[in-house]
Parts: sequence; C-alpha cells; structure tokens
Amino acid sequence: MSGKPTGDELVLIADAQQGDKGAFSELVRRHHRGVISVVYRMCGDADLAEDAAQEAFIRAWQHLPGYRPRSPFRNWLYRIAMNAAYDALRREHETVDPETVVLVSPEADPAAAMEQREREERVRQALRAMPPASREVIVLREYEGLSYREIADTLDIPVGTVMSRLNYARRWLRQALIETMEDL
Amino acid sequence: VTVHALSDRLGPYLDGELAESQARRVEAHLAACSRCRAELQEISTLSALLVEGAGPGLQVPTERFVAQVTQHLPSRPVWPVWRQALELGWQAAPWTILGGWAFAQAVLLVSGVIVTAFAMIPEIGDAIGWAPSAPGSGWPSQLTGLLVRAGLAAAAGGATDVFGVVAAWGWLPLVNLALLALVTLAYWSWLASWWARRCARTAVNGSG
Repeated sequence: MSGKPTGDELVLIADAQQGDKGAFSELVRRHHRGVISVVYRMCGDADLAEDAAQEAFIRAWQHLPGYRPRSPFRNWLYRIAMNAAYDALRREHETVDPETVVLVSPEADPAAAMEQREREERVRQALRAMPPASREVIVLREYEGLSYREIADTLDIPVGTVMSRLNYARRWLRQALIETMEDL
Repeated sequence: VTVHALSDRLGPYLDGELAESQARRVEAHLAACSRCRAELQEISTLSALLVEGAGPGLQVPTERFVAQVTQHLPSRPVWPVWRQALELGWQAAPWTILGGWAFAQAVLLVSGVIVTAFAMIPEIGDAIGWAPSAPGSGWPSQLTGLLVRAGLAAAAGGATDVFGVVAAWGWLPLVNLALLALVTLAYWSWLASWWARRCARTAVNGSG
C-alpha cells in the first residue's frame, strides 16, 4: 500500500490516462474510503466531505495524464483531496451543523453514548480549530497511518518539516484537549 | 504540557520513525527522566483519544459514490498545456535534431566551397567586387569579406597551397566535429528516453 503503484493498478492508471472511465471507476472504488476519510477529517462535516471527495476524484481524473507513477497513487490522490478539502472549507466557511455530523458510534448505554458524543465533538472542534498545516499532518498520521516519508511525499515537504509540524500539532492538541485527556 | 531535552524525539519515537541508534538514546533518556516519560504517556493518550474520539467516520455506500463520481467526469482527462507542448516537442525532437544537423552540414559545405574557391583563386573575389579591401555594408557582405580575407591570407602563403588553406580553415572541421558530437549526444539521449518509455509501457502492458 505504501509503494509505487504496481501490477493491475498501473494498468488501470494507464487505461484511465487514455480516457477509460471504467478503469478510473475501479480506481475510485479502491481509493474512495481513504480519500473520504482524509477530507472528512479535514472538513469535519459529512456533506461537505462527500462533496469534496467527489471533487477530488474529478480533479484527479482531469489531472491524471500528469501523474507519473514514481510516487504512490494514493499519496497523489491524498494531495488532491487535501486541496479539495481546503477549497470546500473556504466555500462553505463555518457551515457545520453538529446535527448532521455522522460521528456517533452506536452505544447501548445512553449515558455512555452521550459521553462519547461529547468527546467526539471536542476532538472534532479541536481538529477544526487547528492551523491547517498542523491538521493535515495529524490527519495523515493518526487517521491514515502514513509514515513520515509518505506524509512528506503527499504534502511535498521535507521529512524534517513533517516531524516538526507533528510535534507542534501534538502539543497544540494536548493543550486543546487537556481536560478530555484527563477524563480518559 | 512541558518541553524537555528530547521532547521533539518522543513523537517520532512513539511512531517508530527514529533510527535504531536514536531510539536507543531516547530509551536511555526515558529510563532516567520522569518528565519525558510523562510526556510520552501524554502523546500516547492523545493518539488514543484522536482515534477513539474520531468515531466510526463517514460511511458512504461504495457503488453510489463511484456512480456519482463517474457521472460527473468530463469525457476525457485534460492534458495540461505544458504536457502537450512537452509531448509535441519530444515527438519532434529527432526530426529537429536531424534537420538541424543537415542544415548545418549544408551551410558548412557551401561556405567551405566558397571560401576555398576564394582562397585558391583570388581573382574570383576581385571579379565579383567582394575583395577584402572594399567590404560592403551589412552583415552578409561583412561576413563574406571576413571569409575572403581569411582565404586570401591563406592564399598569400601560396595560392595553390592546399595545406595553407587547411591551416587557415582548420576550425571548420573542428566545428563540424563538435557539431557532430552534439548531434550524436542529443540523438542518443532521445533514443535512450524513447527506450525507457517503451520499457515502461511494456511493463505496464505486461503486468496486466
């Protein structure tokens, strides 16, 4: 998953570059969860995230001929997804309706469900309040599990910058979520 | 939240991103520093909180999402303008290289014949009024005058002395050689890139 595209994915990319929508649909099928997850964590809003994820794939299709399989296709998609998420946030600017956020896990105990919902809301708000450069490294590391090298490749920044941004982001989040962390 | 000596290494340590020697250094420090141990615990708790507090995430039915994306796709991917220009340039490169080389050869051949003729038979220059003593205006006639002067200078050592002409025009074959080397280099570079492309395409088709 972390390397350059190989085997049938390379064939799908080559076919899609020639305009084969079926091949591209298969690529969407394979990568949509990751892309949706990235934009969702970046936007914090379900509707916004779904639209941004669709937009990301449409942009990927448009720019696919420019993709060279030197770096993983997934990282290339995530870079586009990040930009799509930023654009969606800029367009919508504070349109988050907490009622529409699909973050609640099904809980049998109403009190536990309430507590979990409150925790999720705090995390979501903290993520949304973070500086964008910190948010993107945290999302890619904590939610997508990318290595520092992969994050560097996705964001087109040096590994040292990834490290320093992650350190800053974690300090920032620890301060923002200190009360929530004490509850754990 | 505290910042301590190895504070910046704790996150990468937890993520397994440190080199072995660095990780051992951090472990040695952690064994002796309660403050850094506490900080490491905080980072670990934060990671757990982020995952736990993220909830189940956004679940979108795969086929619906794929259908929506496919429905909105333009008919064909759009190649960026720079890519189109690059591709066109790449396709035209061998013809440009060969054409440029043929043109340069023609220029060198014709100018070589003219200059040698002037050098060996100075009367020609006198007859057409391009003698070095009366150079015309404008760069073509000035250039011709220069060539004629050089030819006459060579001829002064003996109008029919071929070695004199060669000595005077020794740079012509040198220029030609340099040009040939440049053209060969450019052509082989193009061939190498063509071969690399062909191999990549074969790999893609072969892996299917």
